[in-house]
Amino acid sequence: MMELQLGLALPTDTIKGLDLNSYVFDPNKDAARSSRQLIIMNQGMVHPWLSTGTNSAAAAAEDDDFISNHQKRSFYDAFEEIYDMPRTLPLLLWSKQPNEEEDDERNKDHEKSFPSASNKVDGAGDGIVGWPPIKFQRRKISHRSRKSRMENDRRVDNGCADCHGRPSNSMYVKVKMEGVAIGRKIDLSLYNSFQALKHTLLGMFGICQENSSSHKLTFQDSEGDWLLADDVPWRSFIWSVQRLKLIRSSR
Amino acid sequence: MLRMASSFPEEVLEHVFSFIYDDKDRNAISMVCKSWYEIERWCRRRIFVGNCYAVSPPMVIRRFPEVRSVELKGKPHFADFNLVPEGWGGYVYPWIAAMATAYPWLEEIRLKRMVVTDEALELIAKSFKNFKVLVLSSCEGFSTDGLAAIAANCRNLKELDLRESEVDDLSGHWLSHFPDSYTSLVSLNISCLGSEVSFSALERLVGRCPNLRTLRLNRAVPLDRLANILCRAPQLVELGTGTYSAELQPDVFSSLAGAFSGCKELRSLSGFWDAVPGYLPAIYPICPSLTSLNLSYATIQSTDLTKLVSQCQSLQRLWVLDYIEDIGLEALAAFCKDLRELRVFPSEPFAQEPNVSLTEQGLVSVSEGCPKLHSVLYFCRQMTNDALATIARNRPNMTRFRLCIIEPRAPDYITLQPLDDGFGAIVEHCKDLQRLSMAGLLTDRVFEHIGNHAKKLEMLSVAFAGDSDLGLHHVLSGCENLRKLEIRDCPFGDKALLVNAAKLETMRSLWMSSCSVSFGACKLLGQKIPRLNVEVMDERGPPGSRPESCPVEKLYIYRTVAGPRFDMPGFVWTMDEDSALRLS
Repeated sequence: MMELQLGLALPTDTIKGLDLNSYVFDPNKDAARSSRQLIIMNQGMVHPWLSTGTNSAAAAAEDDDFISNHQKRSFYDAFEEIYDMPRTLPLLLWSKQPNEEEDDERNKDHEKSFPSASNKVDGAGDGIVGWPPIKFQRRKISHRSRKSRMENDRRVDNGCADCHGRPSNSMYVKVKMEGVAIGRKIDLSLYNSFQALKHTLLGMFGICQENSSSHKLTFQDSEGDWLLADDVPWRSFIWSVQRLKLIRSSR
Repeated sequence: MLRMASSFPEEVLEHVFSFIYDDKDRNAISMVCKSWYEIERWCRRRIFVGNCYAVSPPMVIRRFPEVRSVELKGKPHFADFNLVPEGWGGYVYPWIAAMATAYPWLEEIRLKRMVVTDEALELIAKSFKNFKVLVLSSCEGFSTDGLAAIAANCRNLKELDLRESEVDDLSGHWLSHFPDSYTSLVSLNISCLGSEVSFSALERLVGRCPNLRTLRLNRAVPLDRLANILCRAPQLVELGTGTYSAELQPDVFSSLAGAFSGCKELRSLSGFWDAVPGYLPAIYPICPSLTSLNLSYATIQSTDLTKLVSQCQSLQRLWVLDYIEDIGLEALAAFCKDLRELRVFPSEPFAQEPNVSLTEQGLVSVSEGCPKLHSVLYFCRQMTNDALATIARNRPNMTRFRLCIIEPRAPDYITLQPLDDGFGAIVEHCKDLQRLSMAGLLTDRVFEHIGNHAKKLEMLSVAFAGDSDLGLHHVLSGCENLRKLEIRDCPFGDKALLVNAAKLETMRSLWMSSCSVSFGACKLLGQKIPRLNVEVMDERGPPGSRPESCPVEKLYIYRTVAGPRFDMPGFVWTMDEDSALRLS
């Protein structure tokens, strides 16, 4: 007995401004043919996938084989036969052999089976993109408070003279210039644009502003890659910068 | 029914309709019959477009010719966490350009996660003579030059709110562009700006606007200027301080305390950057009448936080860092019986080890002590099924529940089991739950619970969860009211999506990143369901250059009547009939 499991009926009252009635379903479609291909998707009951491919049911049980080329052929074949199916019905006839499949899935190592961002945690402590899910402004604050604790200790030792009584939420990173042995440090929390930052950096190393195009600003991001500062937006830069380097433009 | 409808003169119907504000109600009215549709569309004044690509400006303008207020949302929510690459889209300029000619009497524009340029702001400033409200929430792409244009030209401006936007902050000079004759300011929120505005210009502006009720300053406003500003605006209802740090000086303290005491209407406080505990007592006099307190940028510790919240008996909303700790949350539960919303943010989100003593117990305490608590956002480092079940039983009135455990896939730390049953209890007991974000180790079972029980759920966020497509299938087939679904790093592939393809047209949008949806399945969805835009984002290059079975990096599917968009960057492809030919 073939029962029809609707994915979901399309409710007409929750959609703003959409004309749901313009879909054209050909009523002349062979009803018998389409009902044969309608499959039950019902809470773990096992039903074979009735497509033209004879071994597709068995193949469908194996998740790995499902998306292989072999399966793809019969998958598309199956779809062509049900092309004119009403929109309330699924595009895919899924045979679910729950026990077999679930065991396979559970045994699978998730990290190997899909290309997610890696779970590695580097020295900066934030190896996964966009995790934890906090907005940009809050990320910066916590970053600052961690660095500022380090800076506070340093300031207590050195008796920082030029703080102007500013609150200590600085974001110091190391800066080097190509060809210069001694590196410097700069507080990125004081800047909102590359223009201002570069201006100060060049000044630090004694490059006058007429020659500002002589050097390009690069930075190392949280994954260890060196990038050109101008290639990324300020927000991405601040999010991931670990250290800076000025390199000669003629390169 | 037809006879009844036509027996009312249009004017009467229009008058009746003018009392209907809610979009859903207006939509229902417009579907009664053709004449009601016509009357309604001419008198609809307020438009909300939850996805700016779901409809085009000309379509909106054609149907609703007399709009006064527009609200648009652009990028997907996960853009907040840097998951949407720059250049994705969400440009407001085409909307402004279209509305500049069609709606000369437009008064209000509210935007969220959209790209707003200075050109767009300048166009707003010169096109709408009666412009009153500009709210830019988490927007980007504009500079303080654009703000200067608004300040200089919008004579009737009441509200300028830049909440959490990213502004190219060239200087603070823009504020001085408000002419001296300008006095209509009611609400100003510049808390996201970095640079200093002229304090004297600010004080004069505040002083000459008698209706000012909301003022959210930016960090660059020092604490010793705050008293002067408050004295000029004792009628303020909502205040965001600037930096709340200064050397402890008795005269600064007493003028600050005096200024706060003078603000008898003050109900909401925020700001408190770099807060110094010594200045907190300045706000004690007004604490008992506060209903909203945002301390989420205040790096003060639990003793001071506890003392502070214990005095806020009228508090309805609290945003705070996890410095409050379990002990502070117990005090909250004991003293703040009117609490409706709690958000606890992590002070050290990237640290491996906990830096504060904030555990599941704090949330349990608040759920026990605060009978009206219905909205929660909680970052912590450990959770148990028992705690979640207790919270669920305590608070069946919960409508928004967002939990984040810092470590992905963290199990119940006592039983080492997945947190399936805990979240199951949440959806089972909280029958009105509209929004849910889950955390920790979760198998397909939690999705089964959600599909079975979360019938009012409208938005679900999932990360590092589930075992198989069955999980996604439970949600798509069970959650009748689901509008927004966002998923990252879950082992969901093609099957659940394709089986439930029809469901996608009943939702606003679906986001899936770092999952296992193949390019072939995306193409299929895009081809077969015309009123969906299936956008594939892949920074590795054209998906057609890889096998069809290869999973895509990111997938964003949304329903639309506007067809595929044409403002996409190079790493976004729309799957439709044409693209199938182009990409094959």
